[in-house]
Amino acid sequence: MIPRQYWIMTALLFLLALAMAIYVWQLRRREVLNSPPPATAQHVAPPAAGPLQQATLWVAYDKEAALHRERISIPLTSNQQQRAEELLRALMNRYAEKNSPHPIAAASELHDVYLVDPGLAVLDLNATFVDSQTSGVLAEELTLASIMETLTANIPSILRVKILVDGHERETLAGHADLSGAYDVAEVSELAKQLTTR
Amino acid sequence: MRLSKIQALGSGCGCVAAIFLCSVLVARQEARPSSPTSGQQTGARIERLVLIDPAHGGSDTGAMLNPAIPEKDVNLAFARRLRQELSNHGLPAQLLRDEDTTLTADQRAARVNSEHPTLYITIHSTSLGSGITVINALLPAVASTHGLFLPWQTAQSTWLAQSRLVSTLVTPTIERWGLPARLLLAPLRPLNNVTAPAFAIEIAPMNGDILQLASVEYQRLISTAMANAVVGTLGLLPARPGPIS
Repeated sequence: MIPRQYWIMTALLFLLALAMAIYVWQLRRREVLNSPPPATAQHVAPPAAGPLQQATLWVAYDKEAALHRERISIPLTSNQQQRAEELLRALMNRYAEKNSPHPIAAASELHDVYLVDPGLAVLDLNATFVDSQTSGVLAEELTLASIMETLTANIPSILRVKILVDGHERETLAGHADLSGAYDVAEVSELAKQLTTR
Repeated sequence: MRLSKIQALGSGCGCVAAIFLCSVLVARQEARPSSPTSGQQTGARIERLVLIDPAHGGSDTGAMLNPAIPEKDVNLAFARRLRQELSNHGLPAQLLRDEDTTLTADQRAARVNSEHPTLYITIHSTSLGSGITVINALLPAVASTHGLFLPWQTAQSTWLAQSRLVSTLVTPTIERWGLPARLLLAPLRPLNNVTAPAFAIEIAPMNGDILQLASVEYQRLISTAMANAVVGTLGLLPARPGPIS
């Protein structure tokens, strides 16, 4: 024979669990109703902070399968991390233009650049940028060399570059170029020379 | 009491050693190529062997060259023709995959490294550029001072001088066949992990029309040029150091 107080306690606990479930369900419903609509993914323009300065972009041209140096004036800060972000955003804007020589998806974005001592730059790109890459050894090399040469041409203290996608490691850029390790910019410069001397 | 501790320690070490030995044996067995596909396989020692790797395959389609042509199929077609052309020159050649199977970069490298080829060629195709791009691993070249073990990620470094020599000689020969050719360094796996002279080629159409990659004439031209280039340079490489086939 089960004592009466156990029955009462069990019933109370059951009612409490039911009430909590209803409360959580209500909270979730309210959160869904109040949450803002998802923002349309758009390319982020370079911030207009800092004085206008001359910078060098190494731009990939798919038709020629080559890299070309271009000089631009953009606002650049003295902080190296922000400077790296501004340079890469300027490069991505160049690729997002209407008649881009190396087209990328409009929603392509650079999340962050982290400068880690000694001389390591960690770039965090979004998946859209990577997924919209033209797949192929040459095509992916153009992208990597363009990014790394642009960084090192303007920030010589960067010696190695590691690329993450949405904060995670990825095996390849678009099926070919290896992203598992950090790139030595001196080695990439050798590759870039081959891509500029056709 | 002390004796039993020593006995326990000894048996523990024995167990660890046995497990290590078993795992080495299993790894060697797994690394062995499952389906060698060559014209000359049995009995006699093959002094020179070209191992051809049609990149991608199975669930890994590679680039979609157009909505109907995945890169993996074009690579396999070129690889089969190249094997045939090399065989016509009396040079034994094997394919790493002769059907639409999925292989990871590590599986490919493990198979190549256990086979000890004279030369490893991996084949890619693309819509970008024109003709053939001959690609070497983007790694620093180092002398062979590693002893028995090599770092997996940069295993090709020791062979890079030979790989670059062959690539440098192959490129002008390809051009003599009327094909645009260029040399390039690339961060490409499994090229980085291969312990043999090695290069990759990426084949692009000459006229910008992707359908040219699927045409028999173009495939024949490329494979004939490649076979002639490879045959002309293979004498510079040492014979296979590996086991008797």
